[in-house]
Amino acid sequence: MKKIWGLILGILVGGSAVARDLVLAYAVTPEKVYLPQYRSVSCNFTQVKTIPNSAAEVKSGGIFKYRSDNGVIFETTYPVRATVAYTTEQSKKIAEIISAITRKDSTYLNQNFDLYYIKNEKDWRLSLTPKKTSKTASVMQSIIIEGAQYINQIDINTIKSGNTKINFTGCTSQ
Amino acid sequence: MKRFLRILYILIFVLVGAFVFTHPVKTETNILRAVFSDNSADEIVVKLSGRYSSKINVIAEADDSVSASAAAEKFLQSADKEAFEVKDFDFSKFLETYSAYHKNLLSAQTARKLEKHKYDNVTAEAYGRLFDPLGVTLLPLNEDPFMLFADYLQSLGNNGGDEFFYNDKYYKIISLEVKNDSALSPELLNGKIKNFVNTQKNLSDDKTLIYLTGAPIHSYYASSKSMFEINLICVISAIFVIGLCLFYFKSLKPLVPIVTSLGAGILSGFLVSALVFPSVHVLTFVFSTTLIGICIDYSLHYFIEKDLSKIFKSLTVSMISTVSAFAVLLFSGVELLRQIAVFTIAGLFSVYLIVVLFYPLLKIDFQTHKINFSLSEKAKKILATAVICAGVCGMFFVKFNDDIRNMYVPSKELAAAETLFTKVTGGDKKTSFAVVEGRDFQDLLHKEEWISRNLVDVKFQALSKFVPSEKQQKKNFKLRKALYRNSLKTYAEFLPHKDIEKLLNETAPQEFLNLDKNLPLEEFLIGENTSVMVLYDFDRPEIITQNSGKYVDVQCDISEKIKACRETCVRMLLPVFVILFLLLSLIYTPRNSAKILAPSILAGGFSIGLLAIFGQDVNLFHILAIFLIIGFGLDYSVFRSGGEKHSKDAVLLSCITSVFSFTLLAFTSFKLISSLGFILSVGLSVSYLTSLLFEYGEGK
Repeated sequence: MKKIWGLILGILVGGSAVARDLVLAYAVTPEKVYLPQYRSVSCNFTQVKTIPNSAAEVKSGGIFKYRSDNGVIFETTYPVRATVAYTTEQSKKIAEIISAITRKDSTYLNQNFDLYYIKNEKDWRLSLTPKKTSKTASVMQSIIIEGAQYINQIDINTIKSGNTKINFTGCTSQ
Repeated sequence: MKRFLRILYILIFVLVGAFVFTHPVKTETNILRAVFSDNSADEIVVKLSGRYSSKINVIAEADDSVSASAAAEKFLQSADKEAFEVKDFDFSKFLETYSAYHKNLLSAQTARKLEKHKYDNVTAEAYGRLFDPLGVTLLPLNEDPFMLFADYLQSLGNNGGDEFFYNDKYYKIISLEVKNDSALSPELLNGKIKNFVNTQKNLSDDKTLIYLTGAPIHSYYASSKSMFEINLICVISAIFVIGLCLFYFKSLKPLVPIVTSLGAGILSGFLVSALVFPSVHVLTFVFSTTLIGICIDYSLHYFIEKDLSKIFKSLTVSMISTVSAFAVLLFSGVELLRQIAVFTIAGLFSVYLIVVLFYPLLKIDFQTHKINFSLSEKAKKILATAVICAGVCGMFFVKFNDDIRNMYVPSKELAAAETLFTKVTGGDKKTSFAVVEGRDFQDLLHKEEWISRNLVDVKFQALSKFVPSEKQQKKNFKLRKALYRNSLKTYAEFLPHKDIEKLLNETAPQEFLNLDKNLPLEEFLIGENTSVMVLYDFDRPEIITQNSGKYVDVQCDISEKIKACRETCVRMLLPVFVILFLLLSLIYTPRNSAKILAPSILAGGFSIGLLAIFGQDVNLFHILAIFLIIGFGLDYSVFRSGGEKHSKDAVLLSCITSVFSFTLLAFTSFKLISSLGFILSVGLSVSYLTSLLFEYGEGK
């Protein structure tokens, strides 16, 4: 029974993405992946969800906050006001994923995803494709993260249910 | 005549033996079966308890999740798949099956809101899911715009799966289920778990640690340690008895008939029990063989007096009085006590027959070393005062404790592993059950749903959450349609018009989600149409019972049953003494009968009093020990009252050997055994010593 709950939660929080990207030509090991590390980051975000075989989109935006010791908060300010906090206590899975992305937790990433990474002087791009053995592989196609000093975009793509793009702008850190 | 009786004894022994060995009975090792019968109410508690006692948790701890998972995986590979199974399932199949029926599925909370037409509330929650940046669209938004399928899946539970992060460490936990074939053979299971423990040691290093928890692990450690201790005690006891034999008889010859008669007594007890009962409980062996040990007296008396006619009366009275004491247990209504009664009565009678029928055939040519132990008048007074004071004072402080967990104290390592498991998984909630029975499967689900509606703000898991009844699925579809009619156009502005129209014109599905055998949902079923709902931190059983369910709190029910058994035993003590007094009065004067009974009463009272004075809680097994003390105590008194010249020595020797063995048991690590060893060694010593307080006059 525990397996069902774990997997459901994993799927619900794991996100999914398409990774038809050049970055897929550059498979790497986690040690070679550089990601910025901050104790605290605050950004504006916009989110666009698409619907398969349709031009319709769902758009929203707000403020994103990250604290290394407390997790992640998305404060949606339009079209409705809502706050979603993924703290360590509330959701271990989310905390692991976000921490892995933001703090370069390569062990977690390596366990669940095949990693592809390219970097030039200005920016970098990381693609995470669920390993075939990963239980989320049946839903998620890939996650592509790109950034420079901070993370600029997360592109999550599912196999059947469309994709979600989250763009981050105006980031400040401590 | 004796020749005929000998042949008859051997004939019956051989015939019964042949029958039992060709129709073997099961040895029951489940401790709950000692007090629970096989009626349906008791069966549920035993089943639910067994469900939790066959699981082994393997906890891999490391600084990173990869190492923790790798260690757990290595451990899993080394596990014997014939003996253990890991329950897993195909998640893509699960999602595929459930998404096909998503139109019929609603979380209970959303369904309740829709029933009350709280469409704005449901819409607001849907917005929350829709605009949650990490909220996954499990189904395309044009199929499920309110993301009700995600809401339903989330309502099934929020357990953290099998990977955990706690105190800066990563944990991977695997649960292994002991398969039935292995569970029925403790010896086989312990062998497999020994391999587990070795693998645990091999895989643990500075960076990765493996912990094992679960009832089979405790059982392995407890039985391994107990086995070593019992073997050691057997060796020490055997050396002691041999030494005593050499000291007293100056020969080892008496040992052969003594051991033979005891063996035949135990075998007879088993054979008769196997004839009478469908299974013999392992605790029956423990208590009854201990009691049959009393029969060593019969042999000692014979070898010391060397003349059956001198001891025949005492021997017969001792046997009859002990048998009578245990015959009362036949009416206790407790399976274990009935088995102990039958086993003991048959065993004692068998040893008695061997001594009476076969010992006169032996040629006895050994001399004895006389002891003639007695107490001074001053010592008698001190002893009597101490025993009465301790017994009476102790009675004011007696506290009973029927919690079965108090009878076992795990090692520090195992206790620490269990604590870690609880903290890591957050599984420190009190778990209880609602047992629901339906006329058929749909009726069962419907009854569960009826109970669920009353479990507001209660955390629980139930089969009907995963497989709603067809009636509920139809209702869910209608509620969803009502939501669409009321709110879809204003909510789903992002959807094209044709998608909205399509959703509004959906027709009711003709097929319904049913129990999928590929999913581990059958764990909820304990009968064809009987299920268990798992309740967490639940304290209102009336909700269950008022809605045609049965509430089961396994820990509480076990303790209640043990309490009832203990109270039955206590209530039987008085009738036992009364019957014994009446019986003895037929043979001796009432005054002498009272004197014969007094040491048993004093020893029983003193033993319980001593436990109370030292703050020890009294449990069922202590009360059972009182019956053993009565059996031994009667034996000592009856032979002493017989007044034969050398009976005193035989009683002393018998007491010394018994007390020595029980004292050794008092130092064992298993709390149940050690507390029994303590109370029996104290009780038997006092029983013997107090029998010295009385001078027995002429009997009838």
